[in-house]
This record gives sequence, C-alpha cells and structure tokens, in this order.
Amino acid sequence: MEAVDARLLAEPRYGDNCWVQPTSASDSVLSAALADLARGRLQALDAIWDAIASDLFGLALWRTGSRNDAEEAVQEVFVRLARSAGRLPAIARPRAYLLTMAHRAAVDVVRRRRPGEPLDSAVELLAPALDPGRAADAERASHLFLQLPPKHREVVHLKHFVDLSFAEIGQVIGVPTFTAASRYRLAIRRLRELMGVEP
Amino acid sequence: MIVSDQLAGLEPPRVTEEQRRRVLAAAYRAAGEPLPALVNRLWGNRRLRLAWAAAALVLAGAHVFISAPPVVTVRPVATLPAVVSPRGADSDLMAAARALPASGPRASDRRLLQQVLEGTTWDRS
Repeated sequence: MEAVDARLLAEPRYGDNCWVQPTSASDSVLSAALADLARGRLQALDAIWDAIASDLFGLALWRTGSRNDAEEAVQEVFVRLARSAGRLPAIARPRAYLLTMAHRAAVDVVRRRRPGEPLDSAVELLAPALDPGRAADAERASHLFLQLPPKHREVVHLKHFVDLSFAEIGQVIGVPTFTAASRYRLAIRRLRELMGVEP
Repeated sequence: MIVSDQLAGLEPPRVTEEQRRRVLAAAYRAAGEPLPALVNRLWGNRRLRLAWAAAALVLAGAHVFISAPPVVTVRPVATLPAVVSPRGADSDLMAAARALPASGPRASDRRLLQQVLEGTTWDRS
C-alpha cells in the first residue's frame, strides 16, 4: 500500500509509464459479459455487476456526494444496459465505456437535484478490513476528501481506486488528458494543504 | 501526522447486497418494459428541450421581425396636369381623341392623338 500512497501523493509526471496503469483483469470478464448481453442474455448483468459495480458506485458517489444519488446513477446504467440487450454494439474498452455511462448518469442526477436539497450522506472511505482500528483515519480522510470539488474527487477516485491512466480518465469524464492530470494535481495539492503537509 | 499514514489502505465505499438486489431488479424490470415513445424520450433530454425552446424563440423573433410593416416615407407626388381642351381645337378631332382606346393605340391613332395634343395647353394649377 505504501507504493500506492506514494503514487497518490506525488505530482503526476507526463510521459512516465508508471502513470499508465495496466488494464484490469476484469476487462476480459466485462467483455465476455457485454458480449453475452449483446446476444440478449440478461443474466450477464449479474456478472457485470460483480465486475464493476463498486467502481461505478464509487465514481457516482464521489461525483454526487450522496449514496442515494449514486445508487440512482448506477441503476440508470444497468437499466440502460438491460434495455440495450440484444442490440449492444461491440465495445472495445468495456470498463471505460461503463465508467463513462456512470459519469454521465451521475452528472444528470446532480442536474436534476433541486437546489439546496440536503444530501443524505457523505462520501465515506473505509478502514482496511485487516485494521479496523483505523476507522478514525478513514473518517478524517473522508472528511478531507469531501472538501475537494466533485470534479477533483472523481479524478482522484478514478486514478487512485480504479487505476485508470490520465488518458482513460479523460475519456471517461470527457476532458482532455492534460485537464484530467491537472485536476488530479490540484486535488492532491489541496489535500496536502488540508492535511497540513508541506509540499 | 504523515499523509501516507492517513491514506494507507483506505478503501472506497462498497456496494451492498441490498443495492445489488434493488438495482438488478430494476434493470430486469426495465428490460421487460417497452421503450417509451420516441417523442417522450426526446422530450426527456434536457439539451433537446433547450434546443427546441431556442429554435422556437428564434422563429418567433424572425416572424415578428419579418411581418412588421416596412416604414414608408410618403413623398408628395406631383399632380399630373390635366389635359384641357385647346382653345379653338377642332371638336371633331377632340371627339376622335376621346374615342381612342385607353391603351394600345395603333400607330395611326397615336398620330391622331398627337395632333390633338399639339393644340392642347397644360393646366398647371
């Protein structure tokens, strides 16, 4: 985990291969499931859920800041998938495709939200299962992350927890690669300030 | 406190079994439902609604702009002089001139008319 943390807190370096994460092993699972869905097998939705639901939910949660809204966004993704069963086109990058759907659904949910409507809950980072004594750290970190703008939070989520490259993040959220990297850098800088860590 | 100590090993929020049940049930339910009508789907799109409203506004504005009556500047038109009978003009020629068709006189008629008019005076009052 130390390596992951060092990567999270370091400034991004463009062109450095260490910033381009290998594609997840779940990509092949997702490809097979989406192919099944394209053939009209609705049961493939279960496999898709198992492979990527947490990533989709996390992205939507960090974007919306509300568990109910995030669940609504994820549900929207799966409803669209279910309706397109049997006529789904071939998808080259299934994870990026589904994350893009989740991002757009989350943005739509936020737009539909009434101004001033209170959020039901906050984004919560979880303590590691093997170290439940760190619940206080998780709570503090979650509180700090909530002070970041949603656009920055989602980039941190995609980079740190989903392991996407900046190019992939840019594709998912619909911005240039440079903008994605810039948002990440600003988020980490702000996080350091909030934590009182000298740059 | 060191930042890495704060973040090490923390995990993102996870989906629950209850969420899985709800979401997948909604998805399976939606798969069996007919798609909403195209008009409703289009109307459900916020950008399309905005585009429709913008187009309607542009059309309404163009209609108002185009249908407004043009501003006409009225200029005084010089009164055409009235043709009056020449003093001492042959009454037969005058009668022949009056009998000419209003338009399309033949060449011979035109010559006759010219003869009549040569003896006329223009009343410029």
